[in-house]
Amino acid sequence: MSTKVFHVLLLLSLMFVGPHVIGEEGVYTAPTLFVADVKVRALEHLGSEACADPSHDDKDWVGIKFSDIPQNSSVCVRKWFEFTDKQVPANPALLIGLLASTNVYWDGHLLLRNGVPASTAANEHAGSVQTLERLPISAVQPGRHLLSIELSSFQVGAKLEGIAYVLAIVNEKNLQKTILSISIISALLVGSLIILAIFFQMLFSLYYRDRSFQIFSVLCLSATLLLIAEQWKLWVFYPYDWHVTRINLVLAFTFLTSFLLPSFYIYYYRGLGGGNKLNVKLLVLLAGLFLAALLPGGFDQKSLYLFGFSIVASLMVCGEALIGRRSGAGFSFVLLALSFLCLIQLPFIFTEFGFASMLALLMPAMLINLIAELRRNRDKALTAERMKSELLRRNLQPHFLMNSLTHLLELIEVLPVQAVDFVTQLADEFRLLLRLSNKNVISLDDELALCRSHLNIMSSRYQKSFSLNVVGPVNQVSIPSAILHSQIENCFTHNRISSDRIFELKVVVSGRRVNLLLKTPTDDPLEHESTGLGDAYVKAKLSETCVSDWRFTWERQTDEWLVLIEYEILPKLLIPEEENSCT
Amino acid sequence: MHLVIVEDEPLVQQRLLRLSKKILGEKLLKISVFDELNEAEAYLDEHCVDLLLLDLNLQGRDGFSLLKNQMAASYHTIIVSAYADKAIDAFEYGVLDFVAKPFTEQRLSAAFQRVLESQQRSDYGCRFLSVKIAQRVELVPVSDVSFVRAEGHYSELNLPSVDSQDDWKTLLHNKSIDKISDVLPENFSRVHRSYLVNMNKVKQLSIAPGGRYMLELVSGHSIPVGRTRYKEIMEKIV
Repeated sequence: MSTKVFHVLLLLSLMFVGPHVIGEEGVYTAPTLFVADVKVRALEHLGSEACADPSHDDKDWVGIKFSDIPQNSSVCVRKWFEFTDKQVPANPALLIGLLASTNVYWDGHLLLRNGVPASTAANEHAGSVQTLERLPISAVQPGRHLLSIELSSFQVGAKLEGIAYVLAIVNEKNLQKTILSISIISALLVGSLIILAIFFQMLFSLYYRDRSFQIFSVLCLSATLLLIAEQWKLWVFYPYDWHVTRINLVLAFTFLTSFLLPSFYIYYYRGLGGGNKLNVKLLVLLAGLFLAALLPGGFDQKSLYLFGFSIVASLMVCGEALIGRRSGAGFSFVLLALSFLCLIQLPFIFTEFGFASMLALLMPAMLINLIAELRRNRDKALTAERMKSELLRRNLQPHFLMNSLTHLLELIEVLPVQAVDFVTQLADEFRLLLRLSNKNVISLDDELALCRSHLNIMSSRYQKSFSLNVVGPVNQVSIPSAILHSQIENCFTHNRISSDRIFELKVVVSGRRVNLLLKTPTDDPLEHESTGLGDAYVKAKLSETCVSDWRFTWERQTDEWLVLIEYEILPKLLIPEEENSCT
Repeated sequence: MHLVIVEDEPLVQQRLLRLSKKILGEKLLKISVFDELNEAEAYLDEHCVDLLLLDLNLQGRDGFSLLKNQMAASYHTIIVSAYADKAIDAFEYGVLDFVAKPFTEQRLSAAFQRVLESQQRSDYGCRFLSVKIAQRVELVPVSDVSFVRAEGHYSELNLPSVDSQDDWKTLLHNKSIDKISDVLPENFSRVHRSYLVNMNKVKQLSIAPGGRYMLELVSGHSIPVGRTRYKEIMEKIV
């Protein structure tokens, strides 16, 4: 895209294949010969023959930098080379990166035609953006040589900072090797990004509908397109009038990718119920990127601003997540910080590969988090499953079941009529439990029926009268299944109640929030028993089915045990109204 | 027999009471019923009780700590519990029997038989003996005990001392030698009216002057062997 990029590529080629050695033919392999300064003259005053002719004197031509060759002009560019024995390059080839149509001459002979240069836009045929032409051995013999380029550049299509990127005599073999290595890296990145995109899209649509997975998938896709648009110049020498289209594409994908990276983090680390904050963050991000895109500078500069802003925004999101001790935030933060350093230190390598590499590196972090997430989900599902069976199991626990059966044996032998009643009561309780055990959330009506059924059985067993008084609204109230039942059950498991007692429940509803105050009697003012099993059950049930700010506290008074439960059922678990009425 | 029942559910209480009367008939001299062990304690301390039928919630630590204290008492205890899976643990502490709820008349009757026929051992020998030392109750591993000597209504456990000061110690247990014999594992033999010996600790059988048979223990003690029991002991040693 710019001279800098080509310098970087060529420097890489030097690093990779080390040209400072004696070549196979015993010719000294000189380093790549970059041309910085050239002489230039408008063609309309000169004619193409004079441009190519070495005998034509160019002392009075204007000397300019190669990269300053003007746009929308028709000029002749000249460069004299002076080779000594030792300066003759091996595998010499002429590399020209120039948004222009050219006729290239070497020592007055036509070396290359690239498109058809002309004095008007209409007559010009656009040449390729880049050409690599092998120089014959005779062309690089020791002595003076003249390179003349007759060029016209009327079809760029937009005002650019510069149209001339590179002019150099290179070692063709080395250059090809470099391009091959870079292509391999690019291909690997493109391949892995496409796999990531497909994987996370599948994950989103088939397994877990977390929006951040989809964003990551699109992010990978966008980065892939960006990489392809960037590297296209290495693979296809397209006509130069396409160049502006390509860099516009690059800029568009850069913008998209820069937007998606922080968006991904924003979604990934979004808190519960932070819907509005989410939109605000995204809007701020978008606005920031637009500002970055509007900053003065060429395409490369704009790309850098966009990437820079994107990484800084992501760093902020990850930093916030890090403070909130979110899993994986540390790794992402470090990776982003390193990327930012890379962006500052090696800005143009970063725009070429850095972004894509960063995404590929993000993959392990994503996968580790994903596995942890899957594990949490599995544990959650297991807990939910356990809670269901726990409810039934607690009613099959020896203390309840075996004592009830002993009670029943005695009734059968002594009071058969009452035995029939008692069996009916047991059947009622078990029927209710079976019906409710596979539901997470039930109506308060059902819950109260379950509690009363249990109190009936206990009344029979202890030959006392236990009853439940309810104050407050009951209709349309939902409750995690059997949490009150577990508290009433506890009361009998851990306390001895030696007189007729009334259990009291106060229900206060405000909006979706439900406030329950349960008073259960206790006769042992001294003994403190933890609520044990029932306690764990209530907590597990609340965290499974309610918004995370539920409360469950208890306190003991002289002859009462006060249990306070405050919760808001998760909206998706609320029972539809028509179901709520059936008991 | 003087029987104490501890059970908090009225009808289960009634069932224990009713069936006990029916099974024991005239053998039942006195019966007292309590809702809770706490309430029964004072009574148990002050009266000469033969058997305690105890409903204990053995789920958790508290039940077993109550059981441990109970085992130091002079009377036998039969656990009547809903937690059948705790039976083996209860036997290790030295209960005479473990009746799982719900129970029938036959099962309760079998439990009473163990009390009435003293020679019938419990299903599993106990692993510990609870001994009241000062105000505390300590568990003594049965395998440590070399021999038990009758001491009036009590028994004297003889075992190596763990403290270095004395190499031997004796502990007084509230149960009679007959009652202890009921719950000890099979390797304990009644070699004499007044002696129970851990056969694992026997060195040899010898004849003392005057034709008396003596069991020499590894610890150096010599325990007299009853004339009627000599043959049986001889077989066990060989």
